[in-house]
Amino acid sequence: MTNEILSVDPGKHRLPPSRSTGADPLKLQKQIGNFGNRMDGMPMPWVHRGKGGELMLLDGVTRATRIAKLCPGIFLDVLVTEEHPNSDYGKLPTVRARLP
Amino acid sequence: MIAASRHALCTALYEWGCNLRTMRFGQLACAAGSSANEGVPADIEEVSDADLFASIKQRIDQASKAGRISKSDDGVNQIQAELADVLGELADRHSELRFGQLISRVAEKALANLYDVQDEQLLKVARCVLQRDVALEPVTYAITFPHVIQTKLKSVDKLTSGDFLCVTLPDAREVIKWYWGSESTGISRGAQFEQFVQSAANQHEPNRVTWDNVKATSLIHGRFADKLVADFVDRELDCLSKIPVQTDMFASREFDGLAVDLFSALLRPGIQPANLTKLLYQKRPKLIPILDDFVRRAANVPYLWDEPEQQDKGIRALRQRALSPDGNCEPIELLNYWLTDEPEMGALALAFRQFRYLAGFANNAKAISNLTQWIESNPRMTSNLRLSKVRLLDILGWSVIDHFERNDESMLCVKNSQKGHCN
Repeated sequence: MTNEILSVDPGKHRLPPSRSTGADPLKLQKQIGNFGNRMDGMPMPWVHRGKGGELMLLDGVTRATRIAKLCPGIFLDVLVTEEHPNSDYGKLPTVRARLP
Repeated sequence: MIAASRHALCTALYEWGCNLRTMRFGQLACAAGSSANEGVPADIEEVSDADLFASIKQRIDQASKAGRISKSDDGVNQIQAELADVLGELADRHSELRFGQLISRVAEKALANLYDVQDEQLLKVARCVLQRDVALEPVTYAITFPHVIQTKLKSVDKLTSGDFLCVTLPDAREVIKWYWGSESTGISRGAQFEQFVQSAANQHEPNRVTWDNVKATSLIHGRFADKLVADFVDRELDCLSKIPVQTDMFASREFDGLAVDLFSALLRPGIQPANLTKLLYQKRPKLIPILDDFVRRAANVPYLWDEPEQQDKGIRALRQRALSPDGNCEPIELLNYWLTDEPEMGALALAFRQFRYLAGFANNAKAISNLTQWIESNPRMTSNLRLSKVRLLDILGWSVIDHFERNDESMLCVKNSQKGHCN
């Protein structure tokens, strides 16, 4: 872990290949019902940093999607857990491109 | 990688997870898989066991060097420890599958995406697969329709939990073969329709609905009174010309609004949404689904309301139903979510959302991708035509209901809940 914390627009995060269709809308609506647009107490999403500083979500697709949807323009703290300077995340869809 | 060391792979995944306690086992596997290769992140199903194992070991070593490895004996990760054992045993039994394929197939049986599947759910299904010796295929063609309306199509606020079924097509290739027919016995009318859609004559007129398009809809039971469509047939449609021909529903949402505007502008008394989508599909075959009643039932696109007063009343009724014990089920919750998000949504806008949900459900995205590759490598199967993802889902959904109506469940696996196919 690098343990670096960054504050970024959650809509710009790249989705992992296993969730490239975006957050599950049923999980999302449950989180929205439970937490609305609240960020207090929310665990930080974890990301990997790739080539060109692109960030790919490792954990927290639904959380990042909730904030991107309900609080556009608000930045969210994320924890960079690994550096992959040779990995090209730029071809993966962003959270914003797959907002339900 | 020999089977004996696949136990080591499962154990390593568990050890790494002890260090990342908030992550689910499926997430861990996906994360290790996506970082296994340099370059573009890999899909776990494509990663070799050796590369996956090396990726996990590298992470454990890094954490160990940083003094962050925790030896978890406190039971917190007990479920993941059991998962590692059970998946290790399964890996021994299915040595023909890469580990990524194996764990994805188990998640699929739990009707979940590997990234999202809860550890308890994965463990329950993994045990069941092991005990019952359930077959696992290396390449999946299983496509699930989780919210099929088994009754007649009705208004969204009239649906109850009893109206829904979860249906899996264990091998969608068989359904495509059945739908298409064969050159020797005669291809189906649906296949003939597709031939027209992909003909040079149709593609030559991307922004104009022609009388040939109107005529072609009759191949799939479309019907129009000429006078109702005369004002827009054979004319350049401005809205249509702003939507690129190759727009793919699953790749972009940019043109949803224009498509919905076009649909609303052409919808009128005497032209049903089903017939209108049969026309518009021909112009944008990667974007517009054919919304006949069968497909709407399969994709859970019930009737909506035409008038604002009906809409307000209907949404209130839907919300109450979503909160009631009888209506409290995922298909209704999802409809309630979409309509709360956008109360004025029409049938096409709802279909966009439901089709995208369908494509991302469990392992459907992978199965659709595999199905597309299968068609490309067997071009004669579909008369040398490629089918868009929208059209594939459309054909499969239509076929699900058609089989229901004929009481033929030979190609279907039907469940009345979403507890997974191994319960």
